[in-house]
Amino acid sequence: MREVILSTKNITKKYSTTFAVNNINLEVKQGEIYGLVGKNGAGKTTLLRLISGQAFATEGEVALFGDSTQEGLSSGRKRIGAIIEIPSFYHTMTAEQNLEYYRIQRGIPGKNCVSEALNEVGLLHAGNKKYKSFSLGMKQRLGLALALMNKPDLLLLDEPINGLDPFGIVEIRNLLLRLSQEKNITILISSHILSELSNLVTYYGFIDKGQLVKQISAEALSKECNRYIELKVDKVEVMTALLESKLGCTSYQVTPDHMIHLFDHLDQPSKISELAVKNGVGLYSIVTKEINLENYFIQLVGGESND
Amino acid sequence: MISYIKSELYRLFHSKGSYLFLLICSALLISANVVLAVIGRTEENFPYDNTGFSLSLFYSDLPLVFILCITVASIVFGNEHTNHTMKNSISYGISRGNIYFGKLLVEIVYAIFAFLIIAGLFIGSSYLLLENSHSKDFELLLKASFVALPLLLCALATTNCFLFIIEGTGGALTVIIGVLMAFPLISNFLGMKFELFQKIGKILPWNLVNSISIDFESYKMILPWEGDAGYYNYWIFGIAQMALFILIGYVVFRKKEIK
Repeated sequence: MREVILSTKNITKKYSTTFAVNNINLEVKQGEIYGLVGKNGAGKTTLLRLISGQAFATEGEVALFGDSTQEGLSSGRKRIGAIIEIPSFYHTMTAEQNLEYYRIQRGIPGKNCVSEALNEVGLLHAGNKKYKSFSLGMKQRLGLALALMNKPDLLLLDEPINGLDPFGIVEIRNLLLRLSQEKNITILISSHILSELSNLVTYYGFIDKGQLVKQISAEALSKECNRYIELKVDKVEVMTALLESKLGCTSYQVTPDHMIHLFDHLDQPSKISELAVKNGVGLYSIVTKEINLENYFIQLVGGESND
Repeated sequence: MISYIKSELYRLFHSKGSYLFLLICSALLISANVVLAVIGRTEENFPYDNTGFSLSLFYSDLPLVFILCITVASIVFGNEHTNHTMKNSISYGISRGNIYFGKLLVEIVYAIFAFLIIAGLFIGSSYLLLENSHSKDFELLLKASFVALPLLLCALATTNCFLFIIEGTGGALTVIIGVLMAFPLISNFLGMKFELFQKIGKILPWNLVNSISIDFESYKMILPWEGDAGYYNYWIFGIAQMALFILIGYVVFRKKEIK
C-alpha cells in the first residue's frame, strides 16, 4: 500500500462568519498527481495555504508524511516545493540571485542546483535578468524552479499554468509528468483550467464553497465522462425493458428526472427510436451527449465554471 | 537561523539600496568636512575648520542617527509584505521566530556596519582635512555613541516590530514615527500639565537621545541623571523598551497569516 504523503483531517478555516475551507478530509498518496478543481474563491488556495503553514486552521489538522506535530510539519515542509498564488520574488534581484538567496536560506548544498533548476524550467538563458522584467509566464517558471530546487517529495502547485502560452503549458505539463514518472514526486495541483488537468492528474478532488464535494480517480472519472444517448420517453419502465430484451442493452442509467442514459449502442440512435415507436412508447427526444470534465464539474457544483 | 541570516546578508549585499544608503550618508558627512576645510582656507580666523567642531556635528546629531535607524531597518526588511516573498520561507518550514529574529539581527549587524563605515570615513576625513583641535573630541564621540547605542537598538527593534506586524510599508512607517517620535513629543507637552506624562516622556528613547548634550568647557557629557546613573539609566530604559517591542512584534507575528 502506498504511503500517504499528505492528509487533512476535518480541516476548517473560518473568516468571521464565512467558511473558506469547511471540514475537508483529503489524502494524497505517494506518486499521485492530485488535481484540486474548483471555481475561483472555492477554497483551493486557502487549503494550500493551510497545508504550507501560511495560514492557521480554525479546526482540524494537517499531516505531512504521516506527522501532524509542529516539528513534523516543519521538517515535512522542507520536503515540499510550493507555488501558492502568484510566484513572488525580489524585484530588483536577478532570477539567479533570487534562487541563490533561497538556496542559502534553505541550506541546500551545491551552487549548481540553481542553474539546474533554471535549466529544468527553461530559464537558464534568463538567469541574469532582473525579476521585475519577467513576463507572467517566466515568473511562473521561476516559481517552479524554486519549488524544484530542493528536490522535493511533494509539490504544491496553485494554478501553475496561469499566464503560460500554449507551448509553455505543454512544456510544464510534460515536466510535471516526467517528475512524477521518473522521480516519483507526488503533486497536488489546483486549477480551474480543467482540460489541462485531464492530461495530467491521476486523482481529482472537487471543491466548492470550501467543501470537498467529491474525490474520484482519473480512471473512474473517465468512465463517468463517457458519451451516452439521452432518451426522454413517456414510459420509462417499458422502454428500459425493450432496450434489454430487444437490443441486449446492459449499460444504462435512469436519472431522477426520468431520463434514460444509454452507454452502449451509441451508433444506433435510429434503431432505438424505431424500437420505441413500434412498441407504442412516446419518444420526446433522443440526443447523443458527452460529459467532459467541465460539464461534469458544472453538474457537480451546480453552476457555471470559471474559465 | 544561521542559514536565514546568511541569506539575508546575501540579499543585502546584492541590493543597490544598501550601498546607496552608505554612499549618500558618507558623502553628505564628508562634504561637510570639505566645506569646512574650503572655507577655512579662504577665510582668515574661521573658527570651525577643526576636528573639535566637525566631530561635535556628529555627536550632537545623534537624533538624526536615531532616524536613520528606521531607514536601516526598512532597507533590511526589503518590502517583504509588498513583494509577498515571506511566503516562500514559511512554506519551506522556516519558523516565524527564525524569520523575525533573523531579520532583527541582520538589521543590527548592518546598522553597526554602516555606522562604522560612515563614522570611520567621516572621522578620517575630519582628521585629514581639518586642524586637530582637541584630543578629547574623539573620546567624547565614543562616549556619546556608547550612551546612545541602546536607544538606537531600540529604534531598530521598534521599526522591525511594526514592519512585521503591519502589512503596508507606509502604514507601518506612520506608526513607527508615531511611536518613536510623535508620542515622546506629545508626552512632553502633556508632561507640562500631568506628572505621569512627564515621567513617561523622560524615559522615552527619542527624548533620551535628544537629552544628550555636551559641556564644551569641561568636555563632558550632560545627561538627565548625574554621574554613572546617567549611563545605567540610558542602557536600562533603552534595553527594556527594546525588549518590549521585540516581544510585542514576535507575539503578534507568530499568529500572523502570510499572504
